Amino acid sequence: MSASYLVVDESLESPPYRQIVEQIRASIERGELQPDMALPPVRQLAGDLGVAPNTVARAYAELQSEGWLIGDGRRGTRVARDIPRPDRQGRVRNLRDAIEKFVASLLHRGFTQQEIAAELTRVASAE
Amino acid sequence: MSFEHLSPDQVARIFTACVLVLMGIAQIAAPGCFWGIGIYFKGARASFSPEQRERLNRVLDARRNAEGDTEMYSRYVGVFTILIAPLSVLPAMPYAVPYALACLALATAMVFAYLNFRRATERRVAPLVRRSPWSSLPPFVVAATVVCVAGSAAFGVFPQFRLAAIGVTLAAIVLCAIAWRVALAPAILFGDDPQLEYLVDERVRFCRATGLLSLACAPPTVLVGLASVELSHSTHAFGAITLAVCAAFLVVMMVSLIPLGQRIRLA
Repeated sequence: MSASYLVVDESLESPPYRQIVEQIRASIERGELQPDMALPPVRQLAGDLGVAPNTVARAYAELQSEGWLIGDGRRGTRVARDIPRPDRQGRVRNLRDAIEKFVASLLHRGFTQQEIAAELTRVASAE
Repeated sequence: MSFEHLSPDQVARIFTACVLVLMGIAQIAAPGCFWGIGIYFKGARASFSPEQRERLNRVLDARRNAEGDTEMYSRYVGVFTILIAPLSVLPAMPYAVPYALACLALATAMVFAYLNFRRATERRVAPLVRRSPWSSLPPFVVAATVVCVAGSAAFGVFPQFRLAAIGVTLAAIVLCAIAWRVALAPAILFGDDPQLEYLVDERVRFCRATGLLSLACAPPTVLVGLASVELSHSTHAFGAITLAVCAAFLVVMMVSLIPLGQRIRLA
């Protein structure tokens, strides 16, 4: 059975609930999480990640308000059947935001701009 | 040395004491034999290519490191089991009770190992899959455990087995509760090889949960077996209960052993 995985890295500047939101959204966009697929209950996911249940509940609530997930009563939280399709400008904006956050966290860890740029270029061209 | 002058009760007591001492020695000499995770993957290992075996070894090593020194707990339980073995030969103590205590000690050590494991991991990875405790504890195994425990509790109607039946039933209930906690426990993944870590976690969870139910069923089966020898003149109803308890124990034990030889399909 193949599964998607979430990681919460406490050393990142981004708060845990935001990391959860971004990873679930990315999994849906990549098609790893299919429409109508059940997500783990809040308590299970919080236990697995070692975070407070409120953190996961907040992430689920945000994804529900954005239309990525639906709360389905006794069936729990599921991936929405009609997921949001960001336009081209929105996708570029999301990419820019993600890169800015990532670069900021690397600068915070002591890497220079040249080192980051060289490594990003190498990884992007390898892909 | 002759055993001819000993009563069946004394022979059973000496036998129980010897079994406990042997269990203790096994846990001291081979500390991984009861809950070391390596044994859950012997069947899987055989079907793996050298590269996959290397992957599995890395995942198991990471898990062993996270769990900490569980062998230390096994040795403690071994010493405890040897120390309580003489209780079996005391006429005032029903001999199933020391055996139940030994099983309880083993389960307690398993819980400590599991708690250590949960605390030890810094980076936590979660599979986005809904889990049910019933996948680690299949309902028919739980039903068989209930038959086992309730069957032995029924022997409490005989005054000579009342104390043993209460002690064994309490120990079995505690063991079942621990098994349920293990089935519900969070997944522990490190993120280096999440697919294999997830498969390992699922198997460890199943083997430990069903293994704990086996441990819960063992003392009731011993009690019922020993009691039925003494109550051979008693009603047919208790003969049927004895058979049901033994059959239920066999079911639980077989289910807990099935995964040991099973292969793992890696993508």
